Amino acid sequence: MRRAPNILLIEDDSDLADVIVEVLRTEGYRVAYARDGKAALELLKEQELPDLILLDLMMPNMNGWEFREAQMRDARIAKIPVVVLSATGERARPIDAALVLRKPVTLETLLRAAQEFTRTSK
Amino acid sequence: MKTQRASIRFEVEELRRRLQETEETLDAIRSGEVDALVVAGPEGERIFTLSGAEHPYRVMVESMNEGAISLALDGTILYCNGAFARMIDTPLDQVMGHKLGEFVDDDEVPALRDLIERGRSSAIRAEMSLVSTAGDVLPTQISLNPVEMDGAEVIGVVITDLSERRRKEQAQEAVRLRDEFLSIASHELRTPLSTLILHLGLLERLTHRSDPSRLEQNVRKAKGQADRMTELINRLLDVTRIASGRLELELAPHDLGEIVLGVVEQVSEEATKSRCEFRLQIDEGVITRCDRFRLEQAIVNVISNALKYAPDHPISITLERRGSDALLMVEDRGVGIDPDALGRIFNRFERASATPQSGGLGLGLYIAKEIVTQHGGSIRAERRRGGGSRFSIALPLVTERSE
Repeated sequence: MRRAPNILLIEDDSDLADVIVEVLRTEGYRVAYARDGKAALELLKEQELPDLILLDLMMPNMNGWEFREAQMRDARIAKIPVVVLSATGERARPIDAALVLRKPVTLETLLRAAQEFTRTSK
Repeated sequence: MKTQRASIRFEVEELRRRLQETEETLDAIRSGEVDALVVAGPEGERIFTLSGAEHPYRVMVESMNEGAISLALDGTILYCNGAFARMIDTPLDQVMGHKLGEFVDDDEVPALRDLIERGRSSAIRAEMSLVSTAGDVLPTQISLNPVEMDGAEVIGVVITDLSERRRKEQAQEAVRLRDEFLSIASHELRTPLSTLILHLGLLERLTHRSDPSRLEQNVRKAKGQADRMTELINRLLDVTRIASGRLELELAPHDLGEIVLGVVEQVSEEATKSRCEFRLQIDEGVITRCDRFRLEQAIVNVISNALKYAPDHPISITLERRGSDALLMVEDRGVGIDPDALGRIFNRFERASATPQSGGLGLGLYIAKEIVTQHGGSIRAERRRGGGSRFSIALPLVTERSE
């Protein structure tokens, strides 16, 4: 049996993180959660790599842009697709990602993105 | 004949030259570069000196907008002009002979003393608050210059009223703060709103399974509120985007009639709530180059405005060609717009009329105007004969040949 796709969520707002985790698990995804870029890099040292990273931008310690730079420098994790969840206006500096979703994101949009970017990776 | 014309031309040139010379002399007298001049007259040359210079200078000092004071070293006002007396709203005879410190904010008296001390040796400038006898505070700039007057050491003081500049700065600051607030507010709202929306999405799915319909209905309503919040945020963001000139249009030829019909469909629920019926008269094949999404937004705003201010009445929507323009008219039969408000309704935070139920941020028509203007079109509002309002949007037509 094929294992369910694995998603890493990086989001500093715990309320929002909780509900995203719940939504994704309800749909059968396996979800790991990190509260900032630094914690995410720690998690990514583990053996199994996620199929998709959901990334918030404005975070303490290591923000979304910094995480993305660190990810690109590490060949082991550089290829994992990243979907950004952004609460900033377009005045914010751009980020290189597979998809940028602007908050608020509906459940349908979130699931469509999760499905889209985990389908081809397995 | 030829020579006569030439001599006239010569005389005109000569008169012109003298006129210019006279103007230059007058300028030099005014600017103080000249204090004596020789004038050639029929009785020979006469020398005029400006030794009686006190008169023109006094006239000048008295007509200045700035306050002018000559100050003794102990801070006593020896002389002041009318402008200074007006600044502190005090009769002249109650100013001269008094200390300048009496008309300065108490907290700034030590600073003034220090300024006078330093002003003895060199020109110096600072900001200072004057206080009138009635207690009104006036922000000013004060410049001090050491002067010798009839052999005595005094300080020449010029005081400029800064209140107008301050008001302007405050207004600009207020605008900047408001824009910043809008930007921050929308950003801050996004995270909790995301959470709310996702919870609602989940609830909707969960309740669907056990089917308690009332719960689902409530969830739906809550979702509707969340959508409204999103709409609000987007509007606020549009305003900051427009205010900073960052509204970018993706232009392509579109059938304006189709766009209008699409908008009518979009607002049909709103129209039912307002008990308004649409009367459409749409010409076919009216093509404009536009950003479809943005133009829809502008038209939605205008029609929503009509629905809000003219409930229970039919709304006529007409699209036709007029000359080289596409003309879209939205006419309602509602309360109408006050004549003195007609010029303001497209401003930011402005509302068309103050009916009790007229909520909203007052941004819809402002956004509509900005979008239409950026399309090279125009929008206007007028009172409709027989009551109500008419909004007309004119947009340049695309002719078949030009595409």
